[in-house]
Amino acid sequence: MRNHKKEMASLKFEGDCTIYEVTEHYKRIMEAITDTSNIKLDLMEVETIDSSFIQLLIYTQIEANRNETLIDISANKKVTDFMAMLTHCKHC
Amino acid sequence: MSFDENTQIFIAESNELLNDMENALLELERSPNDIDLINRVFRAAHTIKGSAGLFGFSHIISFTHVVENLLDDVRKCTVPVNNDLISLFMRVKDHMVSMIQNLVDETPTDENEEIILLRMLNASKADKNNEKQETITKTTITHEEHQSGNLVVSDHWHISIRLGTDTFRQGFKPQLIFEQLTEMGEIISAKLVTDSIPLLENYDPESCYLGWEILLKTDVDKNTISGIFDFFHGAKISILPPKSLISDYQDMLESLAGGDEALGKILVEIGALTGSELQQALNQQKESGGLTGDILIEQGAVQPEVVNSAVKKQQQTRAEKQRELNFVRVDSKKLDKLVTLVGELVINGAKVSQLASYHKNEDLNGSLEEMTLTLEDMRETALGLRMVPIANSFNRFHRVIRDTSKELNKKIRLEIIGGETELDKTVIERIGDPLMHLIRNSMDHGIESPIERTKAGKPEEGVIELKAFHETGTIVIKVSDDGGGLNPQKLLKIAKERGVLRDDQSLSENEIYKLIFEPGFSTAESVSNISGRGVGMDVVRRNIESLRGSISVNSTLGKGVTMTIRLPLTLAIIDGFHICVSNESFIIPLDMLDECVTMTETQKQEADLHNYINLRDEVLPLIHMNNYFGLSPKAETATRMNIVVVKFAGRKLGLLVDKLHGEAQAVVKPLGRVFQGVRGFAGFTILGSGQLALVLDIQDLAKSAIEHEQLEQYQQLRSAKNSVDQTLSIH
Repeated sequence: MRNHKKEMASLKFEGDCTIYEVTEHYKRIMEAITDTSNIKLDLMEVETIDSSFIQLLIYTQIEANRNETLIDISANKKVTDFMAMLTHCKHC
Repeated sequence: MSFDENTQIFIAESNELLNDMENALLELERSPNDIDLINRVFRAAHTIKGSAGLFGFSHIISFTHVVENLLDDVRKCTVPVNNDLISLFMRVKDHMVSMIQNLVDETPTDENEEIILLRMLNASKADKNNEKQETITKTTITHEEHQSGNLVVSDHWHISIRLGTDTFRQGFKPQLIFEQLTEMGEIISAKLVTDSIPLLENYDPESCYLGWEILLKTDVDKNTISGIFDFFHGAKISILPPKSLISDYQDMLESLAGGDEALGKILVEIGALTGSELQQALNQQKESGGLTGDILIEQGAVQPEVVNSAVKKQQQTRAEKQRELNFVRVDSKKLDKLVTLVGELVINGAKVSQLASYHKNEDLNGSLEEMTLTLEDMRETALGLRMVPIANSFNRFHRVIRDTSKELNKKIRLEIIGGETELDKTVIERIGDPLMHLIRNSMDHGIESPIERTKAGKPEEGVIELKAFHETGTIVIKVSDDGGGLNPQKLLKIAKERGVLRDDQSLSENEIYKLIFEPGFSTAESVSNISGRGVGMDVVRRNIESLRGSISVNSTLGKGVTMTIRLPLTLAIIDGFHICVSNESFIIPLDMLDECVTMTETQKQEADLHNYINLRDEVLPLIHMNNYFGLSPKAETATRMNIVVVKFAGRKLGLLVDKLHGEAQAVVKPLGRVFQGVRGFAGFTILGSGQLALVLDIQDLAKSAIEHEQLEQYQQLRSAKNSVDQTLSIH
């Protein structure tokens, strides 16, 4: 199975990442996770974010661990601040 | 402010809830230990707070929050239910009603009252807080003495949150929790719990699976913290104060994660528990195990019956909730419109039936028959929509009686009979004030003080009875008390003193009682702020008469007074009886009709002589409709005369008419402004033929006929006297 996986995939999220778009984002990520061994999530241009999206990121991380996929997230300050508040973990 | 539909629903719903709250409070006063009633009051406050939150009426939320806190203590039995507390909540309820009214009127809230109430609410709570702190110290001491290992070392609040799956969908923002907690104090540490995120296809991105374990350093109390979570429906929240018992942590572990050891580790990680404390908690849990209810039974804390009945109660509440959902709120204007339309339809239906019978088309007649039946059903239903049980209006008097009897130092109980009697909504709204007046009068002048009552051999507690029932097309409302009754001699004396009556006038007992409705008449020796200014009863009479009703008094000295109000059902459409006088058509409300008789020769002779006849050995007063309305009699009426006997307020009256046409449905339209002063008519209607017919208001007609006759007699007397004078002067 692993051999068929693509090396790299890059997903870019822009604008709103809220409950209204979360199902769509979920599908995009899940598609990528099953056949890629290294995923880059680009959240630099996200403008609005809510906890449903944070939950999706956490879920992605869990799923990726099970699939032995590497996840690399790059995000702007707005996203990291929000994440830090919810998770209360200063280093993420 | 123009409100959208939702806000209007909020206002209507809140008012309803506040009404329910008041009723519950009144009942609570009688049975202070009924936890159901406390819950009802709590629910009302809680729901209003929740809904106000949706609309952002922040001042309502903050006020209700304080109210709710105290109620919560009452619910936990840490604050005792007593009269002062109920009076306080009554005042709170009144203030909330005015807060909501202020929203409608766009006026500012009464801040003074609010400050006073908040202080009182907090004061009631503060008492309890001291007590609670005492008990906590006490338990702390005992625990330290006996098993010091059972207390956790943490100095901070521990909050466990598991959000409900619908949290995102309902639009609640979990980050608000953190914002508010930060305002209250310092979040020492927090840990996101993601254990409940399901894997693979079970994951629904729109569902919420998040939870937190938070350690908070703050000085606020538990209720303030738990207030944050009020809007997170479906969330599991556990808040443990600093220095809680390990067993409390054990309970929390059990309720949140079923005793999952992973959660325990988190607790250790954020510093809520030490490792050994966790071990102790888990051990205790393993020992007990099972469901909470079972544990309680096992420990002998409650009997199994109690648990069963609690479950039953829960089910009942759910069933009631479901029944409530079967109602739809409709703007009363829409209902009026519907009734008018149905009315038009009835007129048109009558027109078509007349045409059909004229053309003698059998098929058409047959199907018309069916349509008429449906139309009648429809009319009944449409009118029924406006009918409301009178209990809605009656129930608010419980409060009036409670407050006023305290003020007067009397013991008074209200009894309501026939609250389910239905009456048109507009009539109910307008009858409230007159009823209030009558009840206040009964309380102030009628019911004696407990000492006087004991002397008179009556029970200390006086009873005011409100009774409603239907009677021949009218609704009868009786207000009676078991007080001292009216003293006819005293009434006469006062009437003569005040110049209402001349010294030489003598009156029958019934007429004397009627004096109390005269303007400027009051029997109370002193004017209290409840009644006694003598402006009340004549206003009551005028109000009732404006509804085309009547009021009468019955009294027995020493036993009490009964006021009887009769009101027409004043509906837009009535079943009528169509009659003709000369060439004019009139409609008599069918409910009033007793019988129709053809006059015998002797009766005719009687009728020619005076205004009454002998009907089966009873005197029947007559109104000669021709003469009364000044219509010329038709030639044929000389041979055959009909009497329509009508009944109202227990009396009978004969109307001398020319022709009987039989039953007809009539849509009553009000007379134009020009004719407003004309007596004896309830309105007019359009007959199927397109002809106009006046609808008779029998009661009013009778009254004006009597006055008419008295005037005639007076004039006759005068002319007789004049002619005597003339004869004398000639001689």
